[in-house]
Amino acid sequence: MKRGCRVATGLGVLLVLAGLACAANLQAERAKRTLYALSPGSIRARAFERMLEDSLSNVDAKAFGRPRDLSNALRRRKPQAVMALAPTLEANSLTPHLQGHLGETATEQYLVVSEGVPFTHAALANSTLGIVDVVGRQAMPSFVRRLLSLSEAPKLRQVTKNADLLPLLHFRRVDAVVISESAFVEMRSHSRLDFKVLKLTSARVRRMAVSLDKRAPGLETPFHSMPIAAMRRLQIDRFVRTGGPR
Amino acid sequence: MTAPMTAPMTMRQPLKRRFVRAPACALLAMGLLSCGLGSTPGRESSFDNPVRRHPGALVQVLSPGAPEAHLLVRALRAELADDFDVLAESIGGAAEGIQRIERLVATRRPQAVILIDNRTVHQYRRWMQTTDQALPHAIILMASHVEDLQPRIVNSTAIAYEVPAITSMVGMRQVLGRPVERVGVVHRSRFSSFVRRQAELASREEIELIGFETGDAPDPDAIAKGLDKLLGRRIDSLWVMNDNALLSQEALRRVWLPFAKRGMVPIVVGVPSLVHATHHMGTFAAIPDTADLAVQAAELIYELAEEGFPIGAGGTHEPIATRVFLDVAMATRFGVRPEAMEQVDVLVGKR
Repeated sequence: MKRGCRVATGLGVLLVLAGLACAANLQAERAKRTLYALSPGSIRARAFERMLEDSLSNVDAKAFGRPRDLSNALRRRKPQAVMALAPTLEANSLTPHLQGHLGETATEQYLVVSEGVPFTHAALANSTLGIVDVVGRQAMPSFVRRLLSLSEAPKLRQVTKNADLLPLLHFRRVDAVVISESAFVEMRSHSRLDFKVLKLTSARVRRMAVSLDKRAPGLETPFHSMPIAAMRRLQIDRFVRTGGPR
Repeated sequence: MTAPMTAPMTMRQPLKRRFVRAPACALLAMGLLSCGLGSTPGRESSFDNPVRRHPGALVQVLSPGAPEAHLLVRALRAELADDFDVLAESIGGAAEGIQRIERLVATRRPQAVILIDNRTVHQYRRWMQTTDQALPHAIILMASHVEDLQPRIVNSTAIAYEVPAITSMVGMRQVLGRPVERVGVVHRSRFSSFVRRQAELASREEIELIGFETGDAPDPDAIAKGLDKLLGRRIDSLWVMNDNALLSQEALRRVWLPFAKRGMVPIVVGVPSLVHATHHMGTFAAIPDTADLAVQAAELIYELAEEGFPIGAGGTHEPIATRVFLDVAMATRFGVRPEAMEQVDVLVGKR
């Protein structure tokens, strides 16, 4: 009886130790899978980080609100994955391996929105435009020049989130703002300004994308398994592989 | 259209006064008083200035040694590092501070100085009146009601530290699923012109700012009377100005907290400490985002640099980026758009 008890106790201890070892392994596995993400201008970094952690299994997400903060963090440490608009990834010398799509398109329409007075393409180069920073302060002028098909970069006032574009119009700090179509729908829902929209069909920006570390195989799966509600908040409905590590 | 600030108003039932525990009010009042930079005269702190890399391109920050100032300086350095050295110094008490400004500006000859908070601006002004040397362009940040102060500083530009009513109200309109069209505000007569400017701006978003003017030393009864009259004018929201004379401990206990408890209209405040998970005064607060304030100031410096730091005043600009606080329990009572919660920086009292 006593011997049986000892054996049972020994087995119990072994089971507990095995459980602890598994937990430690799991913890280590989780720690290895780190995702850095630049918050889209429509979601604050805090909410974005929580959404990613809830949507991606076995991924520790760290969200940043500004391209500069993401760049600085990338200089200090390379995570296993980085999520941001495709141009942001490329501005940080990262290759988009998974490209977000909505329907058939991997790009989102951007609009030039002014108050009261309609804009023409010809007037853009001599204007002051507000825009959410996508690729960092220094690179933004040429990014906007290409986006709006201009020969010269316009003067820019850069902000870090969509919500800050409206005050630029309120205080007449800009002639117009350059804003994604989805963000404009949100802006129009709570503002009574008399918006005028210039739509240039070529003004499109590639949507959210993911760059993966080739040394972390299997990391791609969670992104394909993201709940559709979370993907919709990123203005995509799926990720499509564009090459790179499997 | 903006209503006259002192238009006659109909009388309603006076506010019911309820017992609110004094310590709670003291806590809120202390929070309000500490909403500035909390500078302590004479107290200095190190900013760990980096080695200079850009001879002839210096931005000198003069500041109290408060934590928010450190955050601002770090963000300024991040924005300007490619083209400017940013050196920061704490300014001590009156005479000592003026001598320090003299020494720093005379020896370092910065292209621009950044003056942080009202005390630093006043000291800079006193030094300015005693010197013959050419003054660098001064950028005033984190100082309250700076639009009256800025014209008195030669060769200066300011970014206001009060978030305009239009920004707060449109932000709340976005979060709450209800119209924000008639907004009441109790204010002292000395702030009439400030409120008029706010009303002009708010009208751009079809928001009518309806003021009730008190004397310059209002007691709680005068504030309560103002709130009653504003309710009589069918306001749908209330905007509370950052004015310590209106938000004394006694006024909080006797007027503001009982008014908030009645839950008649959502209340927009200008300091986070008044959005409180237990005491429920402000429903919504928008405050300047310190890091983004640095971005705005850096942009200003780059613009000045492009023009060769011209002599002349640049006026007062409104702050663009804000951090938003929401009392979840209060907002739920008024109806909140769940999807808009993602636009809120701090959800106060969220489970």
